[in-house]
Amino acid sequence: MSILVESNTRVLCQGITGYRGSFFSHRAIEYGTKIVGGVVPGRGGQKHLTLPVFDTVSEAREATDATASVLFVPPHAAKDAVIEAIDAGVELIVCITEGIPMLDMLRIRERLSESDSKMIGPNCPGIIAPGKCNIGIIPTSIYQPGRIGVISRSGTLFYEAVAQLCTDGLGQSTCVGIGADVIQGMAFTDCLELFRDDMETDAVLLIGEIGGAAEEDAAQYLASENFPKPVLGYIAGRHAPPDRRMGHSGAIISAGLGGAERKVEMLRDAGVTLIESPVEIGRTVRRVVRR
Amino acid sequence: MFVHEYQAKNLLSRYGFSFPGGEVAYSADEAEVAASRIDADYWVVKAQILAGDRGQFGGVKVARTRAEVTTLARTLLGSRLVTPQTGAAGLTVKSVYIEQGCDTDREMYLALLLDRYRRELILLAAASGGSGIETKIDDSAQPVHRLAVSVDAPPDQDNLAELARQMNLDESLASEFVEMCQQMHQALVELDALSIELNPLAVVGGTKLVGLDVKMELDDNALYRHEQYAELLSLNQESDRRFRAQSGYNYVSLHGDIGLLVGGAGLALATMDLLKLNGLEPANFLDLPPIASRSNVSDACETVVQDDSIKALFVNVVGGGLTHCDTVAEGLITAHMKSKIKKPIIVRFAGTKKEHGLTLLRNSRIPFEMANTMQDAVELLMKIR
Repeated sequence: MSILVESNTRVLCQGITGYRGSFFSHRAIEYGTKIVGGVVPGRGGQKHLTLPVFDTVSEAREATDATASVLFVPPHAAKDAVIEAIDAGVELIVCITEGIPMLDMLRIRERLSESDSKMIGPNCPGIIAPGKCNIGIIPTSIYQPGRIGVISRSGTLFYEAVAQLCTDGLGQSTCVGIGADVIQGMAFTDCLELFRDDMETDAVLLIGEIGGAAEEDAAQYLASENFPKPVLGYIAGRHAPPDRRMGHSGAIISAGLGGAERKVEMLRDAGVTLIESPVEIGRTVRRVVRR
Repeated sequence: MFVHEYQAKNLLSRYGFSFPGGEVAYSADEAEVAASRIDADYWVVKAQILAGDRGQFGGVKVARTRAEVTTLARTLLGSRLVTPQTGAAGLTVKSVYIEQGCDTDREMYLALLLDRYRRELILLAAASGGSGIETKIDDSAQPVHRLAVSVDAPPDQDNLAELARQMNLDESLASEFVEMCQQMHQALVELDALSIELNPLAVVGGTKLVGLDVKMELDDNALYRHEQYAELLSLNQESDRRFRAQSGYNYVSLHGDIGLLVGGAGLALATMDLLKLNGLEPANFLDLPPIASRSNVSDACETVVQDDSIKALFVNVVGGGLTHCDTVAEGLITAHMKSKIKKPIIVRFAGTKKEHGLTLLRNSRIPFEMANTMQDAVELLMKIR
């Protein structure tokens, strides 16, 4: 088992006819992901990448039995597209779109909280269960099947960390790139809960960064949970100056909140093995799991 | 994007808020005309900069006569104002807001904003206002009341009435307060604002609530659905945001001597940390856009090397997602051909199109130094030092 996706997960792509939707759907299919159709309003009945295209998510769900959907829609259409997926009962929504207005994200969160759907993103790399299923824009070549669960806010640092795991002979059960926006769907805590019960995951690696409170929330969860598996963490931005926005909209330390030291301290108190240097990620995980 | 006080008051006035009468002026002459049109016992001349704490740091002055308005405007315009929120360099005052002086019975604080930590909209209210209120949120001697509100449903009447009670307002002021909270909610949602802060919100003449100062932030992601913001944007250029808008990358200048060009914010933060752990100092933070073109890379590279204090440039890219190593290689070569970079350039590529990127660099005959891992790159950088 992996978390959230498995080899027979059936996936729709909302925005499949666009350049990115098309490119990454093609790549996912090559990887073996069961992309079963696309949704593009006004293009219902057409074929794209040999797949059927539907006008609405609910029609697509009915025809294909898909349970997941990946979104490559422009920011102005994202709120309606996500809510359409929620209303159609899609279990897992992976939203790649960057730049969704904040109030739209609050609206999406309100709807998610009233539903059983889970959302990864927005502005995220997506999710991969190596060898089984890849949804999003993750460069698959560096990922290998194995028993480490990975959760990351950053994209490129996520790839760096996984490349190090592979160099050190450690494959991954599932890797989730949750994104680093201020308002998101799934957080570290949500993924940790799933990894806790996943038989194929022996240890979990968190890649966090300054800004927001996702790491603090994860620390609180781990401290209260007596988590049964080793958890390791690397927090990027320990040397970043305060009050400057460092790229990600969430990556700002202000009014004493969101700083790396507090995150590191809370995670360490919760029993997490903190990795000090970004070049020691693979080595440290290996040391802990081989112990 | 933060907007100036006068712009915020303009945007909010159609929602029924009361503000003292005022006009913006870009010159002492305009200030004189403005003062002549504003009927008042005295006037307040306020520097329009996109930072707070103006009051205690000389940005807000009281004029007793119209002539004094002109004099004060002349002094403020063109001056650099330094407050705890501007950074050491301060901000140049390009406009002043001339406002009707207003005697207050009492000053409070009222804000509606996105709580970035709890990811919800909250109303914040405190019975006394003033600057530095943000730091008092955990101060029990001066309680700040908070009320979570939904985006699309108006705030609950009973909850607002309770909030008014906690603010010790009499009946007529309480109903005005409740109405103001509702107006604020409507304004925030319609304007796509991330925060609206009335600080202070004053009781004037015993019967009226007046916003003396307003701080407002609009959502950059929502600019596309508000045509009227294009003008605000052009008036309020902030340097680093302008960079981002034009070239798509996020550049923050720091104080070290190793220039950084990194793909992705998380990796850029990690690269800064790695330098520091090895006793090296980054000269900047730079995160390429998620889909970087050759010219994005070339522009970013030129920006970094324009800083004369750098001894070397470190390019750290893990190809994947939407940006690949070969595109970055092309951008670096373009930048080098355009501006003949004299500093050593250490390149570390990994991931998608790594080999192709490295081949392009080698074939360019430009003396790039290649590193296989981040650690190798740092060792090369330490030798240069």
